[in-house]
Amino acid sequence: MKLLEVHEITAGYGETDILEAVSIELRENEIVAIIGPNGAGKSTLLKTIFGLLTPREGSIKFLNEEITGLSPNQIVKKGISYVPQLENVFPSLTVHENLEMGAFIRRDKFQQKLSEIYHLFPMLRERRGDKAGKLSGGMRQMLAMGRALMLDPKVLLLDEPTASLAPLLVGMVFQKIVEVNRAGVAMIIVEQNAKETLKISHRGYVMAMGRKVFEDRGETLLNSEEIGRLYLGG
Amino acid sequence: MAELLVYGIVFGSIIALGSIGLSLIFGILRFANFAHGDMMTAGAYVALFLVSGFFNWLGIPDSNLGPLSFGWRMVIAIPISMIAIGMLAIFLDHILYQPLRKKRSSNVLLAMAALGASFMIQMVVLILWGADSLFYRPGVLRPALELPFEIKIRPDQLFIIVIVFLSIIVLHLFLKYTQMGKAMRATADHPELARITGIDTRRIIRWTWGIGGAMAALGGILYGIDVQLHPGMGWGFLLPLFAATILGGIGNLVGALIGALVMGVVQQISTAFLLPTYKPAVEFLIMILILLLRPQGIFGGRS
Amino acid sequence: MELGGIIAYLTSLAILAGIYAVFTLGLNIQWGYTGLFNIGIAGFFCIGAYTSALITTPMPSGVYAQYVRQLFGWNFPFVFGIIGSALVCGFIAFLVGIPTLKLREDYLAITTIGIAETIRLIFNNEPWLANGPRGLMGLPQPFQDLIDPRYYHYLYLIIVLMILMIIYLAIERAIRSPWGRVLRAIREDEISTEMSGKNVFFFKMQSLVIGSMIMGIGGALYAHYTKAISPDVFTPLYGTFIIWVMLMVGGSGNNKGAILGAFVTWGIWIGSKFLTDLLPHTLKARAPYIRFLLIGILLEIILVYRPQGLLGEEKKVSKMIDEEGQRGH
Repeated sequence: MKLLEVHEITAGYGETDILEAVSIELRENEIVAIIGPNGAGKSTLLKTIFGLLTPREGSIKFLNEEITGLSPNQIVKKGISYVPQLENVFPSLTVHENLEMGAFIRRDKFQQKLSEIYHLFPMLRERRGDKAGKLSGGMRQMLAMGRALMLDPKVLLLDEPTASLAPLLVGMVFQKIVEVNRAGVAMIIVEQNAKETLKISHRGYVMAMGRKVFEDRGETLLNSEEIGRLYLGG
Repeated sequence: MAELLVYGIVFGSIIALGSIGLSLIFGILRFANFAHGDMMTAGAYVALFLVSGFFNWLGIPDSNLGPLSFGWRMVIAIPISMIAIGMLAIFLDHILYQPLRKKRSSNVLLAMAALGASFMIQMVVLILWGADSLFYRPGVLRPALELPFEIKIRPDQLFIIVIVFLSIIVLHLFLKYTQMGKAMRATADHPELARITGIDTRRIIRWTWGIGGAMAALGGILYGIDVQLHPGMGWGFLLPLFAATILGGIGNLVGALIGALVMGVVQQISTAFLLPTYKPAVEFLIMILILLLRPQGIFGGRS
Repeated sequence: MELGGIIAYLTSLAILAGIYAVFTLGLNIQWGYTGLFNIGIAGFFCIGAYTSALITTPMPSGVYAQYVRQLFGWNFPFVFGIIGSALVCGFIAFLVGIPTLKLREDYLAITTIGIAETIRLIFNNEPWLANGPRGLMGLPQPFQDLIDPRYYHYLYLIIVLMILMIIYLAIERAIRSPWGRVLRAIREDEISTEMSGKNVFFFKMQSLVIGSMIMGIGGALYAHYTKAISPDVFTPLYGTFIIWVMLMVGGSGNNKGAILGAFVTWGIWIGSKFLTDLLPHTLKARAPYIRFLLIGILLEIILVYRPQGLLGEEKKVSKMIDEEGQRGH
């Protein structure tokens, strides 16, 4: 079943367009990778899906409902969560408070969900009273993901989750991503670290210069020599 | 000298109510609220209206409560005035600052709008009450209490310190333990991330103005109880308010409190060397020293 | 009212509007062109007025000396008063600018408020300077012996308009020069201008000083028109706020707009008097406040609905086409 359908999106900041007629889709329980060189528009695509940017043309549908042009407030309520690359935790709040903020718009008592998240990220439970600003990069990434999961989203958008992380931590983050996905959350991951991402992705899109240039199954892209040469240098 | 210190703490506490609110607004809305001093004025005068006018008409008794210089009318008037000014602040934001934010107007235009609002509040006060200084309770000051260490302090002033202390504790508890308080802190950290998390920033803005306005109102009323009311009082608070907020670090509420107390004490002590009318100049001097030497304030904060 | 009276009345209106127009031009250089948020105009108003007064009056002597004290009194002609005001204001602006021009806009704003307050306090509390709160009276007027006092204000109007014209033309020349372009670049994007090698601080300082010199001239013109000044004339309301309203009404970044804004706003201010004259007797005493409230509402309406003012910013001859109303100017 298609969760997300992004159709011919053209979008940009101000006068210039960054994305041109990009179409992707996300199906239930999938991990979809979006890879490509710097400046390809990958992050811009995520931001457009989440409503931080309004596309000039095209449409975005979530569970067959038109969500183009909605604000992030509204999109988050529908079941899509977004983890930005930078500034993705509240530094002066504790780990616990950050997670509570993730559940801000939940009506119910979310203790249950909190325990689940702590179960998924046990290292967060250890540091629950620490201020998020003092956490290391890897922990912060865990916290950012945990925060996004507090609302039981069906779709998680991750923007460069392993950027500037040490290799050991990269592995840990990807492991968590797989765990979360197995629990039933579909994801779109934008990444520089293309090889590792494709290893865990069901499908992948390659973007360059604001357009989609390739799409295929994750394995296929990973093993393709041409893609490897052109885009997977890093 | 001890008396100067004591009075410095009293005045500093009053300023603290304003500077904490100002710092809150600065931190969450990134906005220099030049109308903050006049929100204090507005609070003081609303209370005056209630105590001298409306409650008089209603027939509420007004004998002094113990050694204090006010009675039940003031006790009822204080929360009403706080709520009224909180709503005024929200209203001003809604008709003035929000449209400007939507148009992505520069910070300076917003500050100018706030200045305009401050003048308008002053004009309304001048229209309704004239230019003379007024008092909640005209007449002789209540005698001072004698405390240990030969410290003399009027009962009103002790009341002021206690009330400010309690208010700050309440605010602290609110910010630390309630969902809305945490959301406000989160928005001050990263407004964009707050939006992404689904926090309704419009509600946060309303709460910020409401709390800032209410605390300013309380500060104005306490000043009126301690000293007097006059239409220009708000403008006179601007310098110490901003100096205290900057001294403590923008967005740093504990810093704003300490900055206010320091400002209060320093400008009182300055009267041992300079004419009291020069207090604003002293406040200004401190502020400019901080801005030049350590603009992030003593405790650091957002820039 | 007979025609002579009306003309006399309009003349006095025009004189004050013209004087305020001088201030507005000065503010336009600082804010309209360079983006300096100066809320301390009243301070330079005060210094300009007092400097000219001290230069053009003699030291008090005889009986008079018991009542009036002043720092100096040179009894020089009017033109020296004007020049002196400009120079002193420029110098004070220079001193003020050294520590403050590096500050962010809103910090600069609160600093200028403090400066103006401090200046007013000094004049009010140091009687040896300029007679303290009682101020100075009997200020001379240029060429006052040449004309019948009944018609003097026509002459003064001509003087004011001439000075206004000279200042206007001088600024217009300067703004179209490379110097002016740098100023506007600073207001648009300070960082880029810095990076292109211009010493931004130096240009801001020039803008501050020149703008303040012009304000000083305005102060002198005011003093010699009203013939008496005291510290409570130079309040934030009459000395700063109204000038800001004038600039925003007319169009900041536009010299014609500055002058137009001054005349229009002053006209509205005077016009509101006719409205409040209709008020019942009990409210009459509060009339100035009602009128100022209207001015305040005017400012807010301009800020929200037409921030570019009546004339908007001058279209620049530059590669960047600047849409009216954008960027908050």
